[in-house]
Amino acid sequence: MRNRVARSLRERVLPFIHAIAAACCAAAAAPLAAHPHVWITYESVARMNGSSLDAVQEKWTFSQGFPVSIVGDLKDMPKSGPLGPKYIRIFRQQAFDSLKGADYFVHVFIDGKAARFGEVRDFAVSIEGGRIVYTFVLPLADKVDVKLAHVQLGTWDETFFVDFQAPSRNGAPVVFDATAQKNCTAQPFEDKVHTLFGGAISPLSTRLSC
Amino acid sequence: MLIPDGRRGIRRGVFALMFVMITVVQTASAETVDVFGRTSSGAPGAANVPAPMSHRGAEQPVAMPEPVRRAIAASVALQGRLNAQLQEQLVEQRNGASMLAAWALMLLSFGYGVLHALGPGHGKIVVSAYLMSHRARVGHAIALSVWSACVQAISAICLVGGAAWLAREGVGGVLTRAAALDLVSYVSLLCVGLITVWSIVTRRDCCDERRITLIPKRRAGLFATRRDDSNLQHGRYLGASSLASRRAQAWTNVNEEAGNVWIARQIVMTGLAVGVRPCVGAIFVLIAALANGIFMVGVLSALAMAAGVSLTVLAVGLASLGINRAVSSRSLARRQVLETIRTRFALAGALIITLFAAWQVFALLSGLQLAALA
Repeated sequence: MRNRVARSLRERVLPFIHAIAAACCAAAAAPLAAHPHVWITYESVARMNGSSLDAVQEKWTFSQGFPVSIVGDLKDMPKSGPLGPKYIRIFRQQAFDSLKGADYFVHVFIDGKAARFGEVRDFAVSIEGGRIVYTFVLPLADKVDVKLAHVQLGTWDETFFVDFQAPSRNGAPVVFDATAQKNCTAQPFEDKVHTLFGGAISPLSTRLSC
Repeated sequence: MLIPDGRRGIRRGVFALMFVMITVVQTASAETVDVFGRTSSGAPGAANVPAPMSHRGAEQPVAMPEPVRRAIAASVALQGRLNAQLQEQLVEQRNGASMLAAWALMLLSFGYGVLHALGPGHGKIVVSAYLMSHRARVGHAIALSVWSACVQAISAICLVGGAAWLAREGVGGVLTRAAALDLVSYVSLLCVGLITVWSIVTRRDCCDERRITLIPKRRAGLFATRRDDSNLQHGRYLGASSLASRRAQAWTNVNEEAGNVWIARQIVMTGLAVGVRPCVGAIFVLIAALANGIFMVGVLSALAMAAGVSLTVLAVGLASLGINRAVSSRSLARRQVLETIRTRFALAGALIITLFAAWQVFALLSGLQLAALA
């Protein structure tokens, strides 16, 4: 009797357990939504006014594989140096404005809450070493005094379609501009709260303090 | 009760309807997708929706085990480096590199494909669901993995090559079209799933390699195979002599090939449905190659990438096949139970694929999700 029950369990129940396990595997794979197709090396500058964070200045250097042809017909584009208004307009329309909803991948958290941004300004495109480079300034809607709040700044794509990389292994991803108080510090750390890629990737973030 | 011709008519009608629907949907929802995988409204596509863990400000711990997390992070970092080297090799090819450099490019593409397929997409869910639920062989797993990856590469090649040369409109709309193929892929997958479920439920076809056919079906169409009577083993009455049996009219046939034909047809259809949605990694390499005036090198690179993708998908598929065999081997003592389990497994697999595809189609058509890039 006992053997029969055991055999029955083995032959009838196990397949369904395996099927459920397979379904769970499939479900677990679902949160892994996108994976990187675009690689960007970024540098951020915290634009300060004393101890007050006013805006974030970004510099994005795209990898060589960035498919410029998708952006538009840019055959006559200069091979190096800053691009003119005509090309900047094309880049802005085709490969920049759509990022507004994602706050241009810039994340500022004030006491753990996401900060709101104003209109982006000073968008420029240049070619450096054969690579496309974006620069722009993203002002905060409400300035924040770094002395009075825990402020965190980082650049990442929540969907992980774009992989943002720090300048180098030892390079600081965020620096202060000249107007910042002398005692302000930027401490990079792995953000284990706002993880990407189903929790596999912890983006690099920087804690600002003055 | 429908006669086979009537059923075939219905099947063709369903396909025609789906084709018209896809065409209409593609024309109607012409939302462009940019190089960041974002739609014109700024929203990320279906495959680019942020993971649930990454809500802003949400205090959620990382549930993934540290070694796994580190392994994935390392593979992502390595993928980035491979991509950078791949692009450098493409530039070298443009400048007339050596044969060694060409092989290096192919090797890089292969490695990139292996790592790239570790991420979402590339048909791993469908392939593993299929192989876990069917009595397939290792050869079938290899065929399905290679075929689906090849279709993905060919889809990307046709998309980029077609836009650049046939339409002569540039590659600006390639990603939008690639995203639209998302829906085509899921509708095709839904069709394949529904047909499989129907075949299993009506016992018209299933997963057994040896099946008894009372009235051999005449098949016509793309997946039909010419049947050779010499391959059929004639049924025998107990006690009848072998000679008499051979002379007897073959009213009962044990068709050994029918199961294989069924699996081959399933592999072709599933691979097509999965692969019609091209890999963006391959698209980007093809566009870079096109920009450097070495499109054929890009084509070879995309195919090498497909080989890498198929290796990863095959590894996942073989694991699923292993689970299927482990379950089957436990039940060898009772053949009848085994056959029941196989049928249930096949049905469960077909249902999982059908429901998965149905949900994706519903989400895309209702606007819950936006067409996206793989």
